[in-house]
Amino acid sequence: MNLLEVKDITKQYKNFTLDHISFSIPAGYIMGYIGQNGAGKTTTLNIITQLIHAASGTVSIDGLSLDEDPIAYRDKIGYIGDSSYYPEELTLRQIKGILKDFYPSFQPEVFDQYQKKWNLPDQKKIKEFSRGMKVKLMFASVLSRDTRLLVLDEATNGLDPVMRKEILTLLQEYISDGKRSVLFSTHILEDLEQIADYIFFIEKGKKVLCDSKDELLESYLLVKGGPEDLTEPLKHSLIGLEVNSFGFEALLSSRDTIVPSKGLLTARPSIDQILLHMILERKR
Amino acid sequence: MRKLQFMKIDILRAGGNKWLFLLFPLLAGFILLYEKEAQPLFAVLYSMFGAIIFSSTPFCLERRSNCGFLGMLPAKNGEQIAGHYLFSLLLTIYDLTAALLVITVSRIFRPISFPDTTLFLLIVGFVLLVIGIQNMVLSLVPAESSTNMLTLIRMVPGFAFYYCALSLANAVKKNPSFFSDIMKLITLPNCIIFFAVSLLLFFVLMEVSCRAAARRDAA
Repeated sequence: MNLLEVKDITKQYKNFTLDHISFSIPAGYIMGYIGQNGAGKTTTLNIITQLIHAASGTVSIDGLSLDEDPIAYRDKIGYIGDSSYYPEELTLRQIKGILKDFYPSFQPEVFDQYQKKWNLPDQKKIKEFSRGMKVKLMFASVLSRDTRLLVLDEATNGLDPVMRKEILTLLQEYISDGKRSVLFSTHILEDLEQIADYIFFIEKGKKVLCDSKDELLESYLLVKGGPEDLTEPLKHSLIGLEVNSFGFEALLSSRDTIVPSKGLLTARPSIDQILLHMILERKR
Repeated sequence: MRKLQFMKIDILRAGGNKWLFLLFPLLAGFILLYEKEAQPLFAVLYSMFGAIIFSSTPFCLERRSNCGFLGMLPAKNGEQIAGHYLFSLLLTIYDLTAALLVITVSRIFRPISFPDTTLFLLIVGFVLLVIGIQNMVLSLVPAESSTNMLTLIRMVPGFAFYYCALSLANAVKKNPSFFSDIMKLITLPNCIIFFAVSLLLFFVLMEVSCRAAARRDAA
């Protein structure tokens, strides 16, 4: 069963249009939502979390849309942004009180465990928290509720490797019961390579691709060669060709019948490389 | 219930200003003690001036609707606005209580009486209307409005109320015969009705603001 179902959502701004985006995430999986700055990632995530409303289209979580039950819908989502969204003048204890008041599924004892584990101070104001502490607080507040979908918008940016690793482990634990899913938007594609099951690539408000990570990685070969290796037939088959004085680098579809010549260097590309060459291809 | 919980959040967020909210009643207290001509009603007017200015604090604490935490709390659209209104009402009661305490303390040092109930109800009724309209305007102005614009919306009604009330009081004092017909209308039953209608209108404005905000959010 699909836990998140996004159907045909659109949103118009003065210089940007989110153009009929559709995708779904089955329960128990993590989707990486990637694209360049201004591609429409945050707009999509804000529509899912209902911080903004789509001009058209629908979003449902666990089969429930916002119109059907706004309170239950919001209770099912846990959101972690790139910066702290808590009112800066409040303390952790006050935040805990608010969570207790509003979220029916909030478990104070679980929150206390995270607070203890991460040494989060009780009486300090949020504005005095470090970036790492703020991220930990966001995680503590969403993980101590019975959420079904975790939405992360650049949540691991600027964190040290140890903290990032810890978060990736947490995400894997989160989906381990097969009832929850994660939608993870990030520029750190290395993180996605480790944990994502699906990749959605958005560019200028439009879907470029949506596939399972493994299939995506198997669909392409990274080809490198000297200037003399760049023959005309090869040139036509290459995706996102990047030429410099030393040679060239591009992607080649695994399904392509062209057999790379012996002088060429082929390797399994990373998501980062696939993304880069696809952007180059679209710019051509 | 969630409206009250949103009010609680406003109280927590405005908590750092709790002494500032007492500024005007305390100033009124000093003036009552040191200015022999000052009337107790002045303390009420001065406190209400402060209430009008500070009651809209929550509307200015968070202007962007997409700030995350509060916007994503499981609640119906508009309930946060209702919480802001309830905060305004609470602050008005807080400042009124402070004004009455100030008058009580002043009575130890000066032979003054409590303000007339009719005038007291009349003033509070007007203040509720002013705050209701001010809050409605603040809930309707776009989230990206400038700080100067918001300051203007917060300050102008307070100053206008204070200036109009003082001017009217002076005019009545100077020319009582001119206002005699109007003064005849200021009876306790009429003032109770006026206060009740003002309170009702305050809640009507709250409902209108909540619905308008919900419709804007859905657009």
